[in-house]
Amino acid sequence: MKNKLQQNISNKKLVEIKNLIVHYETDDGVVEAVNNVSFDIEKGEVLGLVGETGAGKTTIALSIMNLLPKPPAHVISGEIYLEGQDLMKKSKKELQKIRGKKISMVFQDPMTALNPVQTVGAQIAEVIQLHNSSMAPSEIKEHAVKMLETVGIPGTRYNDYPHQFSGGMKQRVVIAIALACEPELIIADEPTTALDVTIQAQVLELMKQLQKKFGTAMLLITHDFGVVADICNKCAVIYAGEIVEKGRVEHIFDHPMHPYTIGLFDSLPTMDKDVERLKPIKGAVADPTQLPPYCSFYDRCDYCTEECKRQNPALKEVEPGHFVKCIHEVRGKGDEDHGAD
Amino acid sequence: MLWYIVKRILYVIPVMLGVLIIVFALKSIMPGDPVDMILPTTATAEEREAKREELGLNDPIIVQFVDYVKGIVTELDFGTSYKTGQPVSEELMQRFPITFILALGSVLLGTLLAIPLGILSAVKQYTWIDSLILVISMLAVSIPSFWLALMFLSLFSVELGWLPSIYDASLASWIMPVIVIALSAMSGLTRITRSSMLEVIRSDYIRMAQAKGQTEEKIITRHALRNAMIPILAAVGNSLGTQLGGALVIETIFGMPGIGKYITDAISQRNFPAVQGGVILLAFVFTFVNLVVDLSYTFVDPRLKGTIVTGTKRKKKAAAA
Repeated sequence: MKNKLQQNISNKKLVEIKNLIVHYETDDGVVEAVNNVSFDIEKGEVLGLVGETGAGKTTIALSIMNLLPKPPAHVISGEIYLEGQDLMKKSKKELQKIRGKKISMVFQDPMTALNPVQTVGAQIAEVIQLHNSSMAPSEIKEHAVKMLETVGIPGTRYNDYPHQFSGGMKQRVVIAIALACEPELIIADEPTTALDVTIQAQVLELMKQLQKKFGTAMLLITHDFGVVADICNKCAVIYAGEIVEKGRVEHIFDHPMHPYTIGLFDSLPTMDKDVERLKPIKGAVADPTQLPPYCSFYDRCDYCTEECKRQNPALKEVEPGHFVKCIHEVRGKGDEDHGAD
Repeated sequence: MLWYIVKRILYVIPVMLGVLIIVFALKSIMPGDPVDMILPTTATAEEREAKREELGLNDPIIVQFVDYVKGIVTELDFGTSYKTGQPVSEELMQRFPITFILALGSVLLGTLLAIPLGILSAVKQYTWIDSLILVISMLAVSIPSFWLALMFLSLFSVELGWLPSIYDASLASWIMPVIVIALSAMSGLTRITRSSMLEVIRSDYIRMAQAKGQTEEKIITRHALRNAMIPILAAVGNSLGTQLGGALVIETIFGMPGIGKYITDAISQRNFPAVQGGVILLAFVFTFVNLVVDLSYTFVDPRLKGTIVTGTKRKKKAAAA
């Protein structure tokens, strides 16, 4: 294993995704959910994956876990490396050892993510027991109680069932499960979307603290730039299954360069300006069953030219660490206020 | 919980009264006279009239009803059989265990077959295994059980001589009737297990269990099955109730002196006390089975405990927490 690690030059990289293409084959045609996506996450780093509903964010997350529902999903091509090892080539058994231990996941909807007929304690203990087979039952329970307390739930509630918890507390339990084995990477799939705003803030704060405390890397999937500004180091904006812009959070927030990212920022309400209407991006999301051979944002773009219809541009590095998938070097002005909330 | 059980048992009383009213109503519109069945054809009109008076058949139907209920409530007297002159309760108690064991045994066997088949069918959805199980359960539900029973008889009793063709209280004579009923009970339960499992294995907590690194077998047994259990339990309870009253054909073919056969004979003989007693017993057992099924839900799904455990107890728990 050490050899393999050494073989990989960039062993600072925890996760590396290369040219991932995932299609869903349905009766109504082939849905091109993820198209040629590449990114990497370093140890202890938080990457925000931002995009609209249906942009392919969850599909990417499930690909990393190798939990895509097959059929209808098909991984057409791509490689996913965890610490230099290709996850796509792992057997079921090996994957089961990685899931929960090396990579864990926080799901979008805490209402349905917990098994309703098991106590929350048992559900935390399950993941501990799976990856620490030598631990005695009493130790496992002790650890599970500690995890509950880590996420701010009294240990006395170990034997309670999920229906006795509120939504925010359930999400805390899910986070406790995700952190129980101190994984290298947490994939958080819209962890606050199903919660109301005050609870969102609490859960986010908790995740931020725990991420710092455990030094875990995180892939945070969201459609909320506020969340990204709050806890991410890096950010990737995804549109119609493609990364259209990625870079450090400062790059994206200070001067977004892809028309889509600029459009997203323009459509956010600002606190200092009194505006009657928000400025939406015109048109609707590209139909993932009929993506054009040229730039998929063409129909909605304010900057498009004839040139845009001739090619599907590749990501290009406009400054160190800042990649944009656009032939025009538009330089949008980001608004620092968005980061403030 | 105890209060809930008591309440549910008290519900049995209006159900029984309803059942009795229907049985009495049927009796008054049913053609034929029980006296014809009891007395020889040579009996005179006076003798018939005397017998009718003795049995209380000349009283208004309301009076008959009140007398009957009074007999049950005060001395657990279900009347005497017109045919044998024996107390109906005794005759029923001799026959009931046979029907009950037959129903319980076959539904149990059917369930034990159905749950693994249903799970397999759900896990291997749209594969040849799923189709094969579909064909098996379709066959099991479409083959009439009397035909299957006869085929079994001709194969295992007549051709091979392995099993007795007529019930003789030996263990071997139970095998065929139990299997025949179990097969018909199995098919429906398999379909229900399959659809219930399919619904559950698509839910988020199953994906969560996968994300924890749990093995597929344990995801099915620990996470999915228990969540899928409620519709299955309901169907098992229903099936048990149906088999209790509906095992008549099989009882007749295998010559088993069970309740189904007893009631059918009683109906054709206009043996009213026997019919009434039998129907009441079945209705009671049916309601009781339903109660047991309902209570078993609370062991499967902790969310239901809240609705069944009484309010005071919940408050106490909340205060403690």
